[in-house]
Amino acid sequence: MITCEKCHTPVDINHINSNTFEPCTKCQVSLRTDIFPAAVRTEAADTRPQMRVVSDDAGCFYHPGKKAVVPCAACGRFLCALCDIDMNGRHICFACMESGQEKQTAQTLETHRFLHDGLAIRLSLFPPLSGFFSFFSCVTAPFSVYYALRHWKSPGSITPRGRKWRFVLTLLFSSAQIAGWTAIILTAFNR
Amino acid sequence: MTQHPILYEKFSAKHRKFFGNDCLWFGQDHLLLVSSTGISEDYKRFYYKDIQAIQLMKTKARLARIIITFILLGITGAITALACSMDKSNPAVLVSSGIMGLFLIGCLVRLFIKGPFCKTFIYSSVQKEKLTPLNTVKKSALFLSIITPKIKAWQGQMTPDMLRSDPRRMTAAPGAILQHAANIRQKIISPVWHRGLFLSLLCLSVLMTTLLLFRAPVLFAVFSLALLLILLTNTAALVKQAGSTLSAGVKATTIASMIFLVLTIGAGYVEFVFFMIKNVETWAKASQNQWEMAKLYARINPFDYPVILGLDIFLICVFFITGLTGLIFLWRQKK
Repeated sequence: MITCEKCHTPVDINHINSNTFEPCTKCQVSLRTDIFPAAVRTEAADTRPQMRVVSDDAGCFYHPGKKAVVPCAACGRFLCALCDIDMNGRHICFACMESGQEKQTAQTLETHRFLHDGLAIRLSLFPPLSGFFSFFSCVTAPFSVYYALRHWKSPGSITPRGRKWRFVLTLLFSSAQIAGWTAIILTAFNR
Repeated sequence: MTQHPILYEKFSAKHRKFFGNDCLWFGQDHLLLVSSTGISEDYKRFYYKDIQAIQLMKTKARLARIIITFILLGITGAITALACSMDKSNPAVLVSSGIMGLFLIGCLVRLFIKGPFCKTFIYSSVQKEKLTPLNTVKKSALFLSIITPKIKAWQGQMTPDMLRSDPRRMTAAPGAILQHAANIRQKIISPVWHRGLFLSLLCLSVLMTTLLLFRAPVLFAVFSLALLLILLTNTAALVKQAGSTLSAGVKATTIASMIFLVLTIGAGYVEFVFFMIKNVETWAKASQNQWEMAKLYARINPFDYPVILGLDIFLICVFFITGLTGLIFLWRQKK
């Protein structure tokens, strides 16, 4: 049910897809509602018959008694209509979907990613810029160099945001901090 | 199982948060909402074939921001005028007021360029999500002009007949709207705490004005106690208003008053530190005794310190305006 977000009154049918803001019939707040065919479409149940294997038919890998209708796009196992998962046009089995989710190789299933480049550059920049915590840069600078090199090839964001330049900047800043600390220590020893 | 990386096209709108931001990306078959904290990202996907509706709701956020900016601009102007009228006008006050004024004018211009504000919601069969990056009508209109052809390519054209034959009752027929009054899920509360809070804010502004003119230690003690009580009232009001039917104006004013109260306490602390630096012995000795503190505060003449005077005037205006605005909102809601 598409309702007004403010008063939860259902939107008037005459105000839908009008491409202009119309007042809500109850609270008068200006609303523009665009509805698409998916809203009025009823999902058709899977009508594919669950046929049993006869003579030379290929059976489902998971249900040998059922006739296979499609092979898994990832592992090639034959699947019946019950085991077939349609993932944006790709037919895969449950096992491949689960392993893809675990190994983070199926982008379409991922809901969270850790950004190693983001952490590396923050570790490198935060202590010297904070002023108060700048002393900690003697620890964070070498660690951020290690972290940047360790995660150079780790997967970053699924969106095409540049990540290598963050690692490069981390290496540059951290190297400068390490050089600075080395100079301070050497000067202290030479006195 | 390996897959080729999905190609994404970025949408220009971005919602900045305290840590990170939210942004939108158009994929080949879905819209991706990315909530980033800087070191991690959370993804929500809306497949074009599943999107049922997109709703835009205009808000009064821009008007509220314009009013607040104008008030702040007025206060800055008043402080500048006051500083100029004094014999020993401090150039630092003039410079800081000038910078503040320019900043506020910049904010105003930006608000006018941005246009009206709105909230955007996307509906699919299993979820309804607020698209936080789309907070202005301009951005949302641009977003709709991009996404609508993509959705149509996946779902086809929506015809008026399809809408009227609506088998799932996604919309209401004219005249059937009153039947859905029971749809409201929010709790109804009596705004006793809010009324008390706004009235006390008005009283506080009167008390502060009195303090500006009559520096009596008793008044300072009363002021400290009143501030503490109002803070408690405000906290209670904030707890009560969560998920209630109170209007957005009342809720926003309550939040604003909490911010200003915290600001007042912070300003008092800064003031204390400033005077302690000037006269360590006396102030450090008095810091353990509230009555002695009140006595010391009573000895300070705010007209000798333009910054303190400006701050006091600012807080008086703010408490008066907040209290009055809150009462007007409550009165309008009752009406």
